[in-house]
Amino acid sequence: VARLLAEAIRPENPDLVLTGLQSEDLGLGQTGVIMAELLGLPHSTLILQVEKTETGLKVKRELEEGWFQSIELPTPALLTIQSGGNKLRYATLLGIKRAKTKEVRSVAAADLGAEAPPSAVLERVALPQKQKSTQFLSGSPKEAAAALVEKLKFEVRVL
Amino acid sequence: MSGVLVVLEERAGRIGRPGWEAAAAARQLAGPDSIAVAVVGAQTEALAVEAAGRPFAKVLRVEHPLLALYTADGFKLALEQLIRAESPEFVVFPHTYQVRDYAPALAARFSQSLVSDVVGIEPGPVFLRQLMQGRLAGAYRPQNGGPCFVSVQAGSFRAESPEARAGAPAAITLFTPTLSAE
Repeated sequence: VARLLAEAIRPENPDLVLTGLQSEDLGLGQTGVIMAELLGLPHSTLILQVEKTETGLKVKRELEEGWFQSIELPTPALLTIQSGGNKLRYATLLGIKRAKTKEVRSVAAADLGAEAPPSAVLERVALPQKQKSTQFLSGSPKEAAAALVEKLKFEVRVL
Repeated sequence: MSGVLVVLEERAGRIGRPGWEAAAAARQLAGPDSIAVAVVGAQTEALAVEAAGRPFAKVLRVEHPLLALYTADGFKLALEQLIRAESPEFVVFPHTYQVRDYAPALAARFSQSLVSDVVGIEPGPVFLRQLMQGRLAGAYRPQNGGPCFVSVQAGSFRAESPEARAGAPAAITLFTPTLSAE
């Protein structure tokens, strides 16, 4: 997908490419980053805010544990946008009318010549193993508590 | 092409737990004698010494002044040079926000894709990961001979009690990538 998209937008020479962070289905979270690599663009991911500067862009990146990172990068560039960082702006009636006059360019995947053999194949899809069962944790209260923490950490993975 | 390279990550001056979990995943792919770990930065000696106390074949210090602060370009270039020099069969990362920023592009430089957010490994190897926000489970098999790039989901592989290395610490090797600020 990234190869096809990169080849499709290459002739447009955009100053800024925006992509989502990851898809709802496979959730690989790589399309934007690979596009940047194929197009030779600097990139940054998990972006919450974008600000234009005289030399390019200043962006706010989300990190783990509530931390943020501020990065400046030149344009052209590619950013993958974190959800929830921006308020949705709905189109005005005038905007909807104008949209009908915009050029729509269709590109056939076969014309892009970007086919490559997959490096990993999804060979099996299954329902995740879920078991609802009651378990009694034996031993002293201290041992039972330790066993419970172990299960919450590594089986249920909520800690 | 053989062995496993694990890219560890620093947290508050020490090797972070996600890196140890990636190392635990690597042990399902190869024995300790076939696992190398890499620490990346401008000053990596303390991290390398910490890693050398664990059962790995060797510790690689990927060190350059331009790696003092994380940048996707810097890490990508430095690790590309390391991987070309070491030729591992598998490269294993913790699936952190930093890794997801550069590892897909790094894999693309080798015409590979990153098998990301892996939660389990079956013989083959076949890598297990969640699909559809966890509603399905998918099994991915590497196809074209590698190097195979894998990142592992936090909490999926146990790194609670990492065994100490028996005997002398693992060999530490300094690797200086060619980087330019231009």
